[in-house]
Amino acid sequence: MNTVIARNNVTVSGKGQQVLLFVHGYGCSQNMWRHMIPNFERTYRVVLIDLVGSGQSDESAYSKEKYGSLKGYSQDVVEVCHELGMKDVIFIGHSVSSMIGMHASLMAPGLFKKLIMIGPSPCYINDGAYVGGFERDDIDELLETVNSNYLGWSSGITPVIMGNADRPELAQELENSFCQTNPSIAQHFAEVTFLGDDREYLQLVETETLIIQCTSDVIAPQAVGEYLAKTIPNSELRLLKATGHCPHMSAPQETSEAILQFLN
Amino acid sequence: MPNHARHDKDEFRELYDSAPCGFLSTNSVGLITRMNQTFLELIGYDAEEVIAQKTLQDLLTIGGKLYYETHYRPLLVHQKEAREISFYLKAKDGTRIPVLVNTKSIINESGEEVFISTILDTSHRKSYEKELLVAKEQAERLTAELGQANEELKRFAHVVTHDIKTPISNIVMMFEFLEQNFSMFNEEQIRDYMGRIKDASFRLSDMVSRILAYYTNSDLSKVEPDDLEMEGLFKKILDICDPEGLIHSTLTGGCKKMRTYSVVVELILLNLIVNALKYNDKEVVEIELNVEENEGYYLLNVKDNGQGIRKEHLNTIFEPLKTLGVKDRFQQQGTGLGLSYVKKMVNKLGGKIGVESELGVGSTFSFTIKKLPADL
Repeated sequence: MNTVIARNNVTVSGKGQQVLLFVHGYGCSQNMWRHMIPNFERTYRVVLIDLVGSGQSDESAYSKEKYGSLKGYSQDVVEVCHELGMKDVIFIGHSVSSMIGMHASLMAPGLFKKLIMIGPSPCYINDGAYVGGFERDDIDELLETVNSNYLGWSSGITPVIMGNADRPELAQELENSFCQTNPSIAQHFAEVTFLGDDREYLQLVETETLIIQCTSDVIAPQAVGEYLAKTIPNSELRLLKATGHCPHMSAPQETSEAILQFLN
Repeated sequence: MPNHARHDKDEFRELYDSAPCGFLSTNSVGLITRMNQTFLELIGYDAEEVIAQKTLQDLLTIGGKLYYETHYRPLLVHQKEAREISFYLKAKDGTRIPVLVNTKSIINESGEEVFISTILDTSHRKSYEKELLVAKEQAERLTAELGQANEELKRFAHVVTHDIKTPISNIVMMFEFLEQNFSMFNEEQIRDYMGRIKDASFRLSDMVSRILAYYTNSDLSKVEPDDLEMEGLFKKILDICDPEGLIHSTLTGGCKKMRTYSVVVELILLNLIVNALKYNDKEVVEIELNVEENEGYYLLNVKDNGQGIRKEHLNTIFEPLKTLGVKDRFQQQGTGLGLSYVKKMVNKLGGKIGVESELGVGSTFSFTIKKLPADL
């Protein structure tokens, strides 16, 4: 099997020429797009990937050096696009993957036609006049929570296969597994995600960008969305009624409509 | 309602309210719609402050809120169930209560999706978990330290081999000489010769023990400094590398004594003098040790009349595994470990080392040793 394709567990579906590349955020995998994907498969070529260390990616490809910066993931994104011969890609990233997409757009100018960021934040920690929404202590507390949620997980526990007659698509899924990551990777990815600061790159973005902002998002507050819209040259901000940080899961219709409107 | 039915209902109500874990129902947008008394007591709020007013997320610490968004909620959306999620609840009075949350989605009578959760107070377990976590981190740290110590020990083996090779060849050579020319000597001469071999062997053995002691305590803070008398030290080293007394050696300079870690200085000088001897192409090997001192440092120079070092090599000879490709007088190639370790040891003593050399004429290695605070 091709290494790039296997490494990022790339899946392709849909009928259409225009490529939509969806990249999940911290803590999950490509499964998180599942409620939205049917809205796009009729007219677009839908490409999903798992970031290395998440989902069904090749965990052995993980290295703390490479993925000590979001650019390591961006490099993978560019490689996937090249491998599949994709051009004029529309990149859709959730949360941290918004920044991964941004770095990819800077690494390979012209590769992306449009950038769509769902719940993005270039810097989570408040810094002078900049409001990121968090203090350093808060992030340390998150890291502690991530850590404690793996503490009780013994490697000896056999995962239970979920039986769910109502939702057969999940039948083969292992309990708690789709959000499960190797604990040390989860910890490291959390550090890289929540302690990062990518503000200096925003003004360099040349790709047309849509920022999708939720109402009362704890992780990426509205002030952050507004900051991004102000700083990224060719961008627009779209405020959703949906609350929380994962509108593609809690409000897949509204989120899909926002994307489709931007694309047409 | 028949009496027994009401009785059952009361009993269930009581079981619900006073169950030994918190119960919580939330609607599709996360608002709390119902909870039991145990939960209210845990968080210290009144029912009306919570029902339809707060979400579970509102009651979490910031770290928990983030985890809620990135893990817990996605799990519920996709899997309709989340188990044993560890959170901290923030009680009304600000205290943090560690809890384990299990949540499941059900469809109620009106066909709406409702999430029901059990909340288990894990204060005691949590402190134990924390202790375990600390122990685990400590174990990981120790393992890393041990790995490093092991590496040091491996290097030690290399260095020891390197340091004692020359003295051992000397002893062997003396034996061979004695063996081959036995009939030429009288008994007294043989005794004298044997005595020298024995002394050299004992000194070598003593040195090995001291090197071992130094490397097993490579952290100098655990070793006591001692007084070093230069003349004795120089003689001792020469006895080890030159038991037959063939070297023309001189000790000069105004500093006769120093207070430092003697085993380290001994190793440094031994390496330098062994090199001076090994890479010497003259008939008579001349080695001069000059020791001076100033306010803060001891200054030592080891000067030889050897073959000298090429200019282009002067910058790299202190790098590990560098040999200059020159054969020594025993036609053996260096290991390239000696000088990089000499440099390391000099640095450990707070000093610096450098070299000046003239091809065909000789080299001078100069190094400093920082005086210990008590001597200043």
